Order: sequence, then structure tokens, then C-alpha cells
Amino acid sequence: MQHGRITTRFLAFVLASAMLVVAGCGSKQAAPVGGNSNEAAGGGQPKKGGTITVGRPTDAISLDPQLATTAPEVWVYNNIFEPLVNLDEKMQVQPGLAEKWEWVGDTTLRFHLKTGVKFQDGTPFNAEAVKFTIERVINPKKPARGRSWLGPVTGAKVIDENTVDIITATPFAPLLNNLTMVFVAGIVSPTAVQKYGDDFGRNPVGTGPFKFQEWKTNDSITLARNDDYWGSKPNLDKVIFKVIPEEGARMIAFDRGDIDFLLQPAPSEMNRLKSDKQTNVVSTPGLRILYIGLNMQQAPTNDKLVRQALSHAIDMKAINEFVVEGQMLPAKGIVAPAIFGYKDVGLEAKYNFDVSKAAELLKQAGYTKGSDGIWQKGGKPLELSFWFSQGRDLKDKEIAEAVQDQLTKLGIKVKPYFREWAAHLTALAKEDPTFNLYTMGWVTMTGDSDFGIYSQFHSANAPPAGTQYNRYKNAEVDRLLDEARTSLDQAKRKAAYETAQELIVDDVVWLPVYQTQEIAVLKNYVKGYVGHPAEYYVRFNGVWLNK
Amino acid sequence: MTLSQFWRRFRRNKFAVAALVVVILLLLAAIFAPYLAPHDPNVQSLPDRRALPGGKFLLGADEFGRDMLSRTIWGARVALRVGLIATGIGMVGGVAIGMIAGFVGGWLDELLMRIMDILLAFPYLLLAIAIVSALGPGEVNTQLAIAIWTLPSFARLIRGSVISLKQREFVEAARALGADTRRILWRHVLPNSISPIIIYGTLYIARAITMEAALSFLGMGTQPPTASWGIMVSAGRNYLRTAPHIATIPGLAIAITVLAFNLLGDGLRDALDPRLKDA
Repeated sequence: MQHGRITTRFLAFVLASAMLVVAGCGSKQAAPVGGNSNEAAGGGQPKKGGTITVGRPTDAISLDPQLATTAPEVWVYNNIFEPLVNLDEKMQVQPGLAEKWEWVGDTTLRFHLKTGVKFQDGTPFNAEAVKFTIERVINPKKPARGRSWLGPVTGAKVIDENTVDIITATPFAPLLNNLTMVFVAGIVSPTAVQKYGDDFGRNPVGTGPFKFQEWKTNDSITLARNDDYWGSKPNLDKVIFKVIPEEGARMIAFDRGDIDFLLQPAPSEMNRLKSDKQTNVVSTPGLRILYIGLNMQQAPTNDKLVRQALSHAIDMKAINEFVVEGQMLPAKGIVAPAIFGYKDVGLEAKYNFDVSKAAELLKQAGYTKGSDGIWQKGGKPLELSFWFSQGRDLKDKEIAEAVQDQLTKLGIKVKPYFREWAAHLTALAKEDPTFNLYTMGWVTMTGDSDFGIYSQFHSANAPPAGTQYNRYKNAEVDRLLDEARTSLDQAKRKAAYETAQELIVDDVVWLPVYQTQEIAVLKNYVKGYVGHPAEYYVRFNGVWLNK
Repeated sequence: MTLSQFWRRFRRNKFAVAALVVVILLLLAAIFAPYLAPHDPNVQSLPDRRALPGGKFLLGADEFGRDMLSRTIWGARVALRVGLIATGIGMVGGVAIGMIAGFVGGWLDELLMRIMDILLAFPYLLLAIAIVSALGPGEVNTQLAIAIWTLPSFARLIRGSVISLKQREFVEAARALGADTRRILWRHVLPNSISPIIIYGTLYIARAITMEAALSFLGMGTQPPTASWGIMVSAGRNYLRTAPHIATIPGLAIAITVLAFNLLGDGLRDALDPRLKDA
């Protein structure tokens, strides 16, 4: 009978876990302790040749940077395509395919291109190719996935073979940083795009250090060294990206040596991996902030005193230590310190865990503690609706549960509402949603506060237009963010972002939890890998194998 | 069959008797959970997270430092509540539909049974997930989803037995004596179909419990921090290598409970089936 299968499956699961218990008892190995975190970069003279195999959970959808923009694709095509300019590990803009650039007036950004560069199919790289790519991104009939990152860009103009202007309708200060994103404006070979048409995503041709070789759907993608690469030549013969969906299977494949480089390792295995002498764990402070957002329009979180009380009611230190297990960095602001415009506003002191202060603020807000120990006002208990999801960010659901417990202990009722990720996003974007708290992560990949602060705190970006789920509305903050977006004076922009951060933190819009660390796990014979703060940013030009 | 006759036949099946004892113990645990549980099942103690069994916590602590024993006991409450209520609703609804369809017959029978067929045609977990997605997650909606899922099975079972019963002589006789439909259904048909209902009900309680666990495992059933065995298994599977007790204890609880209800159902079937003669 069909209904019997569920019973069978559950019994099978229980049996399997019971077996694991038994197996686990036999293998309590005393792991050697050794600090070997960031030494992957060093290690003698690079050797030529060899193949590196990378393990990741999901296959790419397409390798067309104007079509597919999530990690499984970008990890791969970041080695095939290059943007005009690059962000280095300190999040500074560095020359790439463009050697120099300057603003020519408020709405024209001029690039001077490297000469003698060829695409992997032999097509020369020049101003025409840049124009072709930019117009492909902003094509109104079929805009690229990353179109919005180019904001008011209206087109590109060829000045000469190696000079190109990118033109905007209105001044758009974050343009240069946004152009460093390979998934926005990785330069594509015009001949290849014309030749393959819609199949370009299966036959990608760029200027990068590795060229596309083979794609076995849901199994692996193979890249080969581009011997004609214009920059310093890569060492590896091949890079293979393998798909291993199951976390456990991925870990086993790494332990067996089937893969040399592991993306998205299992958090619970990190301590074991860190103490394993055969393994290097490269952790780099990342750019994503996981936060608990507050609904600025919905009672009772529309009351600033209640929000301030909440900012003292949650023990973030305990959450970072015990729930996140110290694997991330305590958040120091609403953007990561590496971002242009970041200001240290003294978050830890401002939102310090202080139960009596929280109680004092609730009293000021007109709440009294009832006989049942629950705060109430006008006979109504203080109740917060908390929406959360699971699995998008490390321990997101567990954090929500810990926060719920802490607030409950203080006499604040919490009504949890769990949704899977897509439903969570849809619900948050609905008109007048009834949540008070929600969990979310936001990553400022461009390294510029525009992408972190404008998108998350400007009232123009509230749903349905954008992703400002807090429905925050502060005219002064809006003005500062507009100013920073349109001014080309970096000092002025920085000052505007700094003031905006002060105001936002004072208004208590987010309760930031942690700043991510980008973690790559590699075999100790993999050398020359340098971690990058930006997610997706895994490049293999400098990597070599010492075996 | 008298009660003592039934008991004599039931007693012969040692497994069924053991299962009955387990079920009674579970019921007691569920009813007296507030008195039995040594700790509050929902209060976290983060520094004690993933404490192994023994010491401060008899069965260890979960990933938030909550007492596993207390959560397992309170979990019995959720499991049995969902199992009994969901099966109860499904049984009452299914029996009503099945009796009407079987007794009235004709186009009404066609209509009702085709609706039941549609429900049966859905993959069972998918149907429950669809219902919970539409209504929103939570224990009450989970009960409703499971009830809707059990409904057609009861309806079909009862319809079959009603159709065969309504042609029997004693029903003919009742009708000849002027009994109306309601009286015939209540006094003659229902009592004669009660054994399969009880047997089916017991088996479906077991299935409802696994279904609740499955939905909670997927995050669509009972919501945290309420202790549900499905949630506990789901949370614990991340720590199978480091703290295996978190998934194993509720997993065993599910297995034991489901097994007990299944064995009890089998025992009831053997004891109630008139075709199995006293040996």
C-alpha cells in the first residue's frame, strides 16, 4: 500500500541514524591540533601543470554572465570572463581589461583599454567589444539579469579602437564599482555571441585565464588553460567543477581526495577540517551581514522605544558564540568594514545586551509587566510576529529560535512564522505585511555603500520597487543617500554615508548579527590560492599544485 | 462478541498486548507531561548545547541546550494529539461520506466517490504539503491536512461494507418494519461496520504520527519551539557525527510509537475478525 512507504522510510532513517551512533562510538579519534588557517598562499616556486577538482553543491544554469548570476555559475565563469576593472582583496578597484579610466563630465565614464588582448576564440578585444557587451546588458528587449546594477546607463560610445565611454542619463557614482562585477559586465566575445546565439551560455568565450572545454550536465564543467592569456599565465592545465549535491557526500569526496577544493563546506565539520593536517582552511572576512530586520510600519515595532528596547534585549554575543559557534564575525555595522563608506558607529556599545535597560525603555513606551510576566499596554500583550527561513545563511533558523527564546524569557511574546526561502521572500515583499521581525542577509558585493545602504534603507527601494523590507522612511537618510549616489566627489559621498549610518543605527532598523567569512577548504598541496571577501570570487590563475 | 471473548482472543497475541502497554504508557506520558518532564521543554541554555546523555540531562541536551528527555515527553503529546485528532476527524468525515454514498447510491455515490478518488490519486505527502502550504504551517493545519488525507480511505472502506450490509436480511427486515434510513444506518449498519473502523483507525493513527513527523521534519508541520519529534529529528541530523543523540532519541520515539500502533492494529484485527475462529 502506498501509505506504508512513509513508515518504512522513517524506520529506515531511524535505523540509519542508530547505526551512525554505533559507528561514531568507534571513531573518536584524537585529532591533532594545529593552526594552519591561512598558509595556502605561500610555499615556494609554482609548478606548472595538473588538474584541480572543485566540489560544489549545484550545477550551473548557463555560463552566460548576462543570463545567470548565482554562485554555481559565477564560480565557474569568473575564470572565463573578465570585467573592465577588478576589485582586489582589499575591495579597491584595480585595472583589468581597462588600464585607466576617468569621469569626463558628470555622466560619462571613459575607459582606456589594454591593447593586444584577444578573446579565447581569437577575436580581438577592443572598444567595440565593450560597447557590444554593455548594449547586450541594457538591451530593453532582453535585459541581462544584472541590468539594474547599471542603473541609469544609456549606452556606450566607441571613441577609438582602445577608448570607450560609458554614458549615463543622470550622475551615477557607484558605476565604476558596479562594473567590477563579472556577472554584470563580464566582457563577452561578440563573434561568439553572434555565432552561438542562445547557446552562448553553453559555449562561453571571454578573455579570462581559462577557457571553456566541456560541460556534462549535472556532473561537471571542465575549463582548460588559456595559453594566450594576456596577464600572468595560469599554472594549472585544467579546472574541473564537479557537482555533488549532498553535503555528506561532498565531505566524503574531499576526504577521499576525489576533490581538491571544497566550496560551501559543512559548518559542523569545520573544527575537524581545521585540525586536519592534510587540509587548509582559508577564511576571509566576507561582505554579507546577517541581520534581524524590524518592520518600521507595523505596531509595535513602529514605536522607536520598543525598537530600542529590543536592541538591548538580545544577547548577540551568546548567539555568535553558541549558536553560530564562532564561525562568523560579530557584525560591526549595517555594512562590512571593508565597504567604501563604512563607519564604525560603536554598534556593540549602542546595542549592548542590558535587560534592565530594555525593561526601562518598555516602561517609557507605556508597557507594564502583567501578573503572567508578560509586558502589556492597554490590556494587550506585547507580541511580535517573527518571520524567518532556513538554510540561506548559516544558522539563520537557529538564530531566530534563540532570539525567540531570549525575548520570551524577558516577557515579550513571539509568534514565529517559518517559510521556505522563496516563500519567505515573497511574503516579505507583499503589501503591508504583518511581521515585526524577520531574518535576512545582505551582501554588498560591489564594495560600495550604494549597494548596501541605498538598496536597504532608501524609502524609494521599499517593496514592490525593491528589497527594503523594513519599510524604513527617513527623509534625511533618503537625502543623504541620493546625494551619495549622484555626487562624484568621493569625500563628500563618504561623509554622506557616515551620517546616514549614524541615523539608521539610531533609529534601530536592523539588529545586525554577524558578518560572514568566506571559507574555502583545500588540500594542503593546493598552493597560491588567495581568499577574496566577495562571495563568488574564486579565481584560479595563481593556483598551482605541489604534488 | 462479548468483551471477555474479545479480550481472550486479543490476549493470545503477545506482541499486541505489549503494544497496548506501550500505547497506554505513551498516553500517560502525554497527559502527565507537565508533571513528568524534569525541565521546561522550551527553555534554552545555550552553554549546555549538545550535552551528551548523562550528567545534568539524563538524555542529553539538544542544539540549544534544551533537555532532550523533557522534549521527548512533550513530543509524545504533540504526536498523539495530532495522531488522534487528525485520525478522528478523518474517520468521522470518511465514515459519514462512506455511509451516505453506500446507502443512497446512484449519482450521489458516483460524485462522492470520484471526489475521494481524486484525493487518493494525489501522492500522499504532496497532498498534505499542498494543504499546509495553502493554509499555512502549524499544528492545527497539520491535523486538518492529515485528516483530509485519511478521509477517502475511511470513506471507501465504509462504503464497501455498507453496500454489502444493505442487502442483508436483517436490514431488509428493519426496512420492512418501517425503520427510516437514519435509524437503519445508526442501529444496524454502523455497529456492524465498527470493527474495520477501529482496526483502520488504529493503523491510521500510526500513519498520522509519521505524517506529522514528516511534515515537521520538512518545516511545514508543528512550529518551533514546540517539541515535535519530527522537528527534533530534522534539527539533529546536522549533528549526527558530533551529537547523535539529538536525532536518534526522537527517531526511536517515532519508531516505537508507530510500531506499537501498528502491532495494536494487527492485534485488534485478529481479535475482531469473526472469520478467525477460536482455536
